[in-house]
Amino acid sequence: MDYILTTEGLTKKYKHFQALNGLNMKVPKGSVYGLVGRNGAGKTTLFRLICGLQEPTRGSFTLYGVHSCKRNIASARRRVGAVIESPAIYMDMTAEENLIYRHLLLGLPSTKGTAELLKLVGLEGTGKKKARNFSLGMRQRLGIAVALAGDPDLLILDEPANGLDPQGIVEIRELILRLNRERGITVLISSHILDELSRLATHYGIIDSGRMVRELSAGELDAACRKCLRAEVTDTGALARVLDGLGLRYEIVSATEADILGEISVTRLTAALAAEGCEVLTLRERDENLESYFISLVGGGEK
Amino acid sequence: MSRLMYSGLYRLKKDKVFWLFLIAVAVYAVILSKMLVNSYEYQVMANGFVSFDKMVFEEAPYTGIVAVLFAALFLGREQSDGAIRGRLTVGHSRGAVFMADFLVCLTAAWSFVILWLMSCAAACLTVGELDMGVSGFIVYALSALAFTAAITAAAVLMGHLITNKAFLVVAAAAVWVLLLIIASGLDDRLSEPEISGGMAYIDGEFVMTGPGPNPLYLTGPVRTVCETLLRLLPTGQAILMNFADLPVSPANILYSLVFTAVMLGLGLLLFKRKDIK
Repeated sequence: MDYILTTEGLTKKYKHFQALNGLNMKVPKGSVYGLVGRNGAGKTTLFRLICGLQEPTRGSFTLYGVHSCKRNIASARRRVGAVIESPAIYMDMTAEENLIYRHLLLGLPSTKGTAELLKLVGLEGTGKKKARNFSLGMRQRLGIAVALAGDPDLLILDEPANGLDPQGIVEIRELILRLNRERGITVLISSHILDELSRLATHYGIIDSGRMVRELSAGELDAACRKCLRAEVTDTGALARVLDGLGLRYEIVSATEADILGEISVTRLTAALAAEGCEVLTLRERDENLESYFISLVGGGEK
Repeated sequence: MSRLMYSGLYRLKKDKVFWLFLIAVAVYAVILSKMLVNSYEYQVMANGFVSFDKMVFEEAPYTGIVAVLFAALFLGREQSDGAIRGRLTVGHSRGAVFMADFLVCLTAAWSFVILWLMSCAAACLTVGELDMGVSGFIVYALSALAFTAAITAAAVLMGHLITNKAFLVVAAAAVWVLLLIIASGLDDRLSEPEISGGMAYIDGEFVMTGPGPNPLYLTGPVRTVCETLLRLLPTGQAILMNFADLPVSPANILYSLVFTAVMLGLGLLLFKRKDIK
């Protein structure tokens, strides 16, 4: 498999805080790679290192086959478009002026493709409106348009849906999918909105405390996500005793509910609970999703 | 580097603050020119002969604060809008970004200074008398451009290390004031006469004393160091230029180049190590 970005033991330590701790990662070319992690897990720090905003304490990365220690890493970075934390746009310039500025910065003809880019992100009608008068969603889209100037092969987006309304989130999602499918752009995206990420990503990297906990494809995630039975009962203590006796894995989710994993004989379970004097109120099948899979990996896991 | 310059000048062209500064300086330059001529004519009527050399450059110390404030405001917005971050992300080196920002700020600062010098030149043409002559005026003009570059370099150093816009503006102004105070103090001490005489307060009464060596007069290596430091500081050269006490010498430009080189060197070193957020 062809990888557009790999990291080897990437470490970043600030004065009293270890942001990245030997991170190893591989981003396949042409993928939408979703980076999932808690606040402070190291996602933004990783992006800053790749984009040259900070230097790693230890370790390295390879971008388009160019090692981070090589002098031509700057040339490799020119093929990357990034929106890290907030879009790098001038608030007192219009959308078109921001794009013209970016084209000049990249040494491209100043007006080439600006109209097309604005149309791609849905900002073609903004005219002379300054970026400071844009909504948050419009600024995010302008940030993406600016990142796309110069036709990058890799787009790095740091929580692009942050602060957006549902309509804005849908627009960003559709834009990312279009970029990936129509232009073949590899997208490296971090997000807290796991449900949204699960509609986008073809690959996932789950990061916690500066380390990569698991990397897997969307197909592998489907296989790894387990079906479970959610039982609502009158006595979770009795339920726990019965399940322990049956050798079943479970997770108590509330005072009256538990998720039971593995193959279950419902008849045996209800009979055992009846013997303990515990009533079963509801039983329903549930699929584990990215959110519960993530939580089970990084914390709040099974008992 | 050329891409950074082109894009930086495009940014400057679109910057309302730059145009506001330029218009304000242009208007003030026109008013200043007339004020200088009127002031000279009044002084001649009142006192007979007066040297126009000692009046024409009286605004020299204030060119620094204009350059510093503009650079701080400009770079403050570059920081807050994420523009410096954006330039690094697309693969430009830290050194190139720093130097390009310096050159863009210098372009603006020199625009303001040239307008001021034009008003001085217009006043000189009207008055018709300048003891230092045209060549002296040219040396002074180049010295002004050089010390403006020096103070701009100091502002650009701060602009790349301080990320809070408001704090940057305040800190830049404070540094300029501090440099002005230091230069003013040095100038005062160096201006002390070698021989002094007059009154002394002894045993509760004022007593006339004979002329004698002034204890405040600096001599030897200390004097040399103070003179060198005064000419190294951009505010020092500006204060000296104020009363035409700055030597009419191309060495002024060398002193400013040294100060500029130190500021740029230090700025490059610190900016390269800075973690950008």
